[in-house]
Amino acid sequence: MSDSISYFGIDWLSKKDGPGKRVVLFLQGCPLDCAWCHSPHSQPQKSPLLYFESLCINCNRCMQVCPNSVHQFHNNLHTIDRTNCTQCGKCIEACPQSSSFKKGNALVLPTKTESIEEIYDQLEPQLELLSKDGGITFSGGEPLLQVDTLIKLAAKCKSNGFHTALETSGIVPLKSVQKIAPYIDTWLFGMRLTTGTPTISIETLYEKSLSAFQFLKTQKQSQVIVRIPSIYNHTDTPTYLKKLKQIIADHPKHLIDVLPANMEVNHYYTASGKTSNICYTDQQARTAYQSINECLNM
Amino acid sequence: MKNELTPRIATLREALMHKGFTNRSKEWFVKSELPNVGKMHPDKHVIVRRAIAIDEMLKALCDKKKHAHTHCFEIEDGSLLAGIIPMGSNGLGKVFPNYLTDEEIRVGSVTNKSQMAILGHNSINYENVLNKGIGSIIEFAQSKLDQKLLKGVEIAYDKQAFYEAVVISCKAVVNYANNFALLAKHEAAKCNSIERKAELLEMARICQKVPEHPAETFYEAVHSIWLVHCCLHSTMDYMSLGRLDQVLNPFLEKESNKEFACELIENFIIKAAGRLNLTTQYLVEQDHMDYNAALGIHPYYLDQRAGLNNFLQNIIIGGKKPSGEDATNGCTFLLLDAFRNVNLSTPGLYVRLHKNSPRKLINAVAHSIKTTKNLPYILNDEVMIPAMRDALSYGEKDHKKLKQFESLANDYCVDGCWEPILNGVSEWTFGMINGMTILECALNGGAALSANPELLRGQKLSIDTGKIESYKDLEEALKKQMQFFVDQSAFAMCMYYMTNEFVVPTPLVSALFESCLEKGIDKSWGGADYNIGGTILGGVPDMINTVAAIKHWVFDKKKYELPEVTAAMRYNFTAGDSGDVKTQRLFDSIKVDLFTNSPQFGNGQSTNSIAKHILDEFYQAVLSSKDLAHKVFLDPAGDTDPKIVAMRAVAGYYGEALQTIMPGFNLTFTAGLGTFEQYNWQGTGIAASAARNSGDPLAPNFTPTSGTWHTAPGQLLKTFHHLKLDRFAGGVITDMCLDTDVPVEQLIENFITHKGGMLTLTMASPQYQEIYEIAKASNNIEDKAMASEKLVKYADIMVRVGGWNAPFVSLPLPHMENYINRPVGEKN
Ligand code: SF4
Ligand code: SF4
Repeated sequence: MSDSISYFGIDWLSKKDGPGKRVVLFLQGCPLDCAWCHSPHSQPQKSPLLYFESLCINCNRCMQVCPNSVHQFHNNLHTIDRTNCTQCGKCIEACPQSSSFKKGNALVLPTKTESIEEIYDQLEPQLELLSKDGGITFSGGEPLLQVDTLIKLAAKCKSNGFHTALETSGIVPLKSVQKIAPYIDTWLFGMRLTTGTPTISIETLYEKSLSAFQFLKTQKQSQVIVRIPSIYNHTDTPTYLKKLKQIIADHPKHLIDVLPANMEVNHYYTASGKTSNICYTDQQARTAYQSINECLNM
Repeated sequence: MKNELTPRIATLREALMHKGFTNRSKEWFVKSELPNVGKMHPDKHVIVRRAIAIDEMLKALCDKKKHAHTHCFEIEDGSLLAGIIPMGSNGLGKVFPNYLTDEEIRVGSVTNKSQMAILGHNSINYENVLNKGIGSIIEFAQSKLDQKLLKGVEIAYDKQAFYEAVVISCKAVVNYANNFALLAKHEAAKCNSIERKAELLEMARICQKVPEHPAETFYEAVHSIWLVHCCLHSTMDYMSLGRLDQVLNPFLEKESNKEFACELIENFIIKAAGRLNLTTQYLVEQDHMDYNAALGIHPYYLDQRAGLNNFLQNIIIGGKKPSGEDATNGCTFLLLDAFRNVNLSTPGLYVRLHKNSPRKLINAVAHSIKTTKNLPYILNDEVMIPAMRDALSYGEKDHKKLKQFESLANDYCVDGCWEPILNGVSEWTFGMINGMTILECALNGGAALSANPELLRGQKLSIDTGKIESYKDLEEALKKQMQFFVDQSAFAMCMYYMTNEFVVPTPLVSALFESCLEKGIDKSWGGADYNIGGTILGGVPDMINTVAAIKHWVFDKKKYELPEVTAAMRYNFTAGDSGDVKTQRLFDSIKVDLFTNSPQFGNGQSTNSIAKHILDEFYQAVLSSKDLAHKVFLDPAGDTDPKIVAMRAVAGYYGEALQTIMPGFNLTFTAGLGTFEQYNWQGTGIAASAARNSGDPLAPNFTPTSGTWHTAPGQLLKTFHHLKLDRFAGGVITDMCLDTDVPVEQLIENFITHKGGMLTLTMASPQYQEIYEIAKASNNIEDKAMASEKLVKYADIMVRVGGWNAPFVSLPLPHMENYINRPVGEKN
């Protein structure tokens, strides 16, 4: 669908994704695979079937309807082998603990692809409520992977008077950033000078981040908030911090956000049947947070 | 804007809360200590007997001996107001002197009428009492009696008796006030504190003056209203308080000490809440409920426990003046501040808002809701005014009259619950119908989906509207069933007037209704200027969800046959002992589809067209009932038409048209959407449906069913826009329980612009679950007194229970459960 957007979630009221209170649309797909990513299901074009064990009542119905034997039960233990899953949704329809209408389900196929109109109609009533004290944030995944259609949605939101924010890593073609810039009021720039994985070289990450950031600094109509995840042994290393300082040296302090590490990082890995590549203790997370702050004199 | 309670108010509030947790059963009057007026004066007209009973009751309240257990004749330490309402409530009933004869009581068994009906559901416009005094009413009635022209039955009712009753009951009120004046004087004489002595003497002066004479100061005005309110609520007339900011503002403007004014209103609120029961430990001893119906001719069953702290008393602020200008004034803010400071579950406070209401008022309302977590409730003038205006104007062409209806609509208020009425000039009665019964009858040829095999197809309740083979058939059947049940309710309201209200005449209230007094016709005889009969449809969100699910799975997707779905609903998705595995599998599958895979009301656009359709059918059915009721029961032309006379006989009525008996009488029919507190009960006996097991509660009022609201509040507000709610003059109320940080100011504004009808907001408490656990344990094992002690610290948590607010600790367990699943927020 040319005028459609794939997304994997909506948060109806967030206070951490831009100024004020915001509706957040999480777009599907990401070119990166950061080791600390807490939504690994956002990375592929379509999320795998998610399974939240604590909500399952072991009723077997998913197994009965699945045409591809994805669900298995051995000694009452529900196991899932997604290899042959075609994402037909039959198991979700049969599951008494799952609904495509609400959050908090045992089984979820979170990725939805809908037209801009459909998405806007869903968002607008809540945006109207938050309009004076917030707005819409496009997050992800990497929302700029769908920049051509996202522009239309952002333009529609903006022309209806809603404040727009976009969260990006900047690791996308510069053109994508440039194209959508007129429709974005606040940039949440999630600086990725490392991803903790070898997929993209450190040099490329640096170059892309730098050029995207420098471009955004020229956009006088919008505000750029730099967001730095504090990940022990990754974003707190001296090399990382040195490069970071080079890029954001003269950026106003109040527009730099050091984000504490998410301690629930395993939640969606388990649900997607993956294992997380990263592990840190509470203490390590705190140390990383502190040292980044100290380094940036925050 | 004051936030702190003065020491006086803090002490009074604390004393009330303390009392609420004690055993209050001994405070009730005992019937045998009151005289039997029916036996004393069997030959007097019933309205006179009622007036004598009012007098006897008010005397008993001031009886020092009885005071020893009723505590009704004292002035609380520090209180600025004298007068105490005895125990009683909508849920627990009342004690009042008997005034019917034995034979009247026996005959009344046919229509479920007795003298113990708590009459409420109306409000007083206190303007006249304050400006002219009750003394002027006595004088007026006396002058009518002096003319000696009234004897005889001019229009079937005895005006002589009416005015006699007015004089007796109004004098009783004056005596009641004067008794408190004497008490205050007596207390002053004993008092050692100079300040308190002065206060008591001032109270003595005021009670000697008002309500008999006009009030001149703010203090006198408030005291006058309080004394009349006490008398009404002590004598079976649970009348609401009306638009007090409009009535009191001229007095407030003259009052230089605004802090005192606020303290006085806070004192008023605490006094009006004086009957609170915060522990459920001693309720059975306090059950004084009678069998009779207060409304219509059918027995009216209440969820008594849910209504135990409902006293049918609301105050309305803000809105528009009759002229259409904004009515917000200084007293609007004063009342809002006082309610916010005191934060009790009763009286209720409604604020009327419109698109030009001052921003300052909207901000103050939002601030109050955030502070109290639930006060005030909101009425949308943009919806309620046109709804009321159109209901009054139905069939009217006279330009002058239409103009008059416009100003009456601008001046609307709500009664002690939430039904819209006219300000002090209307009589309101209503009938409730259950939308899910209507839907079951549509699906099952006029029968309920009962699981009892003895009833074969199910209990037959209505006409057989045939087999359903297409969605169109379902729509058609629904339309006919809707008409049947609306007719039943609407015609019963006509019968209410036709049973000639010789059981519960209301001389005291009629004295305060200008038109009754002028005409010499009691309110219960149709003497009010406007008589409104509302049909209130409950369970609408459940109807919408169930129709949407059936449409989707049976008619669109064709996954099931309709009989399979109705069987699953009838048997609560359980094949039972005789059921085979295949049937159980089918039922399981249907249940999952009805619970989790169907669109649900309040979550976006997918159910809007079904919702609109159901509302359209309901509204049309009410209009159609009005037309037929007019032809058969109201229009004098029917008196000479054999066909109409025959039809009246079919309804069990053999008399003349209502407009023959009461010239000028009209019955305005209104349609409303809601359940009051009865959503739990209305679900009992109802088969399973979308997102509901058999017997589970229905949706509270016009709110998404508990646990089915998954999106953001904005979605529901937008839904209202599509439903054209500005035709539901019987009221349409939504009770939102929010667990989200949405800006309340904006939510209110959007509610106004998207044309929602009425709104209550409860900010969810994280403590619902723990209170429930304590209350549940006390039902089973724990010592009840110990549980009660544990609950004291939660006494300030209030929630909306359909028609009113109630302390969460006093709720029945099913209502608590309902609340635990209700909150809507980011976590949904
Ligand atoms: S989505 Fe379809 S293929 Fe995948 S597990 Fe569920 S039923 Fe099987
Ligand atoms: S159908 Fe749902 S609840 Fe039942 S076993 Fe499968 S995932 Fe668990």
